[in-house]
Amino acid sequence: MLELLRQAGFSPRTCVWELTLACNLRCKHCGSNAGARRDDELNLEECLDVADQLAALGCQQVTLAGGEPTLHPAWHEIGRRLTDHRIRVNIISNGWHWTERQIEQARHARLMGVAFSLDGLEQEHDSVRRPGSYGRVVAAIESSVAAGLPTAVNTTINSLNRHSVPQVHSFLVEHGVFGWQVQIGTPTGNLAHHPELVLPPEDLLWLVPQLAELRRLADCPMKVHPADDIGYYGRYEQDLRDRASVVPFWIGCRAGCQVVGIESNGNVKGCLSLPSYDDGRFVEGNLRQSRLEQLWRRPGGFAYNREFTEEQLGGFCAVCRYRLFCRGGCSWTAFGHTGDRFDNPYCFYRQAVEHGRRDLLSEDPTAPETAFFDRRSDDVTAA
Amino acid sequence: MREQEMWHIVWRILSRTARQVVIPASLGLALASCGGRAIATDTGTVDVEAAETAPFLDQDVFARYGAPLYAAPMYGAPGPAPDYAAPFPRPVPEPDAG
Repeated sequence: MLELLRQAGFSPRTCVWELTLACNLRCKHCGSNAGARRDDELNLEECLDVADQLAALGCQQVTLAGGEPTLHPAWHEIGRRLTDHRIRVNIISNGWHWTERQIEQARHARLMGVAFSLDGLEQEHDSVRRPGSYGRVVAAIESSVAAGLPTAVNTTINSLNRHSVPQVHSFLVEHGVFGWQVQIGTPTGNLAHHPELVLPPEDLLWLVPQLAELRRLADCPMKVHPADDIGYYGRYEQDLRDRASVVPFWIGCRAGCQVVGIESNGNVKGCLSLPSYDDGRFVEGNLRQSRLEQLWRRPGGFAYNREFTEEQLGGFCAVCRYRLFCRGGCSWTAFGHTGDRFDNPYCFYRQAVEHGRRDLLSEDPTAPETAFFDRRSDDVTAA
Repeated sequence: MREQEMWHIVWRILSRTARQVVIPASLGLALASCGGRAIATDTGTVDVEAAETAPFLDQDVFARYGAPLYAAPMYGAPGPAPDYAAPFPRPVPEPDAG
């Protein structure tokens, strides 16, 4: 619902900042092909200036990401500069090299939390990341919890670990993790070369109810957070969102409206996950050439979201009853799977309608929605 | 959550500042029928000033979501700023969804 975002004001409240593209792992599902650092990464002075610019624009929360952000030699200094501005800062690490030194650096930076990437049980995790990486990340989780750092975990669901969601949940609860973000892989970067790992869209029909059930566990100390690429609508919509929110349902991608992504070379995008390659359509500019405020306030910037019109929607999204709320869901997911920002098969509602699962909906599909799949079925038969 | 309930919530928020709110035509008529006053046109535009006195809004719904709006990010309040003077562990602010 673009009007709600517009009324709230376009402001980069949340930033995901790739401090470096350098990484000590080569994960099969890495969307950014992380490995070697970029040739032109911002130096520390430039990074500290970016931190000041974020604060000046009213940023409230920054996630330090990568690559592996702890490979940036001054990640904690950048974090500290941000928290000096009273911005809430966390970091996402693969845990491969997380020692007492990094814990002390996190304390120095006054991080509100650390998050580690854990992609299933041991065999599942190691097969997509690196042999031995499971043991290291578990050790990182344990040492961080023991040190009193608020510790969270991110998990990318793929075809290998999809059956392990409940086990991973129990494992994290037992280990004192306070938050668990669950996301699905999009076939960009390395994952584009591993289609066998990509979760088929119809798997949302069990993943969404399962996450909803885990979120309903009243006495669970760990909160489950479905990422923006998981949803949307149907019977479980409110279970996936914060019920106490004034808008307790999905209102569409916030990239370029309330979220900004910064690459380690200073490229600015509405969301760090959006691709920079091809024609660079999602890159709004570079912080070596322009101030962040100029890029953020540039007329015509972030047009794929800020200037959305209903006519842009394609496929089922064009006839969906929730289309004005949703705008095609997660921009990265839609573009990564179909090449069309506004046609997104990774949608719980769409899959439920397509597969006739009215038991998963909160109201019957509309005539244009059912006709969309009837027509497509007729086309297949005729062919 | 049903589509109409979602529109109610959106309407409640937008009508505080917007002169007009554009909603789907069919839904506009459904909203109007709740209060017996034809404030929604078949073009899907609802006139805010006319609607302010119309009793078509579902008060039960709004009672639940009637908290001050936009004092916080869309997906929940940001929580208190970290107490930097406090030792670990310190209170964990509510993380944003996504």
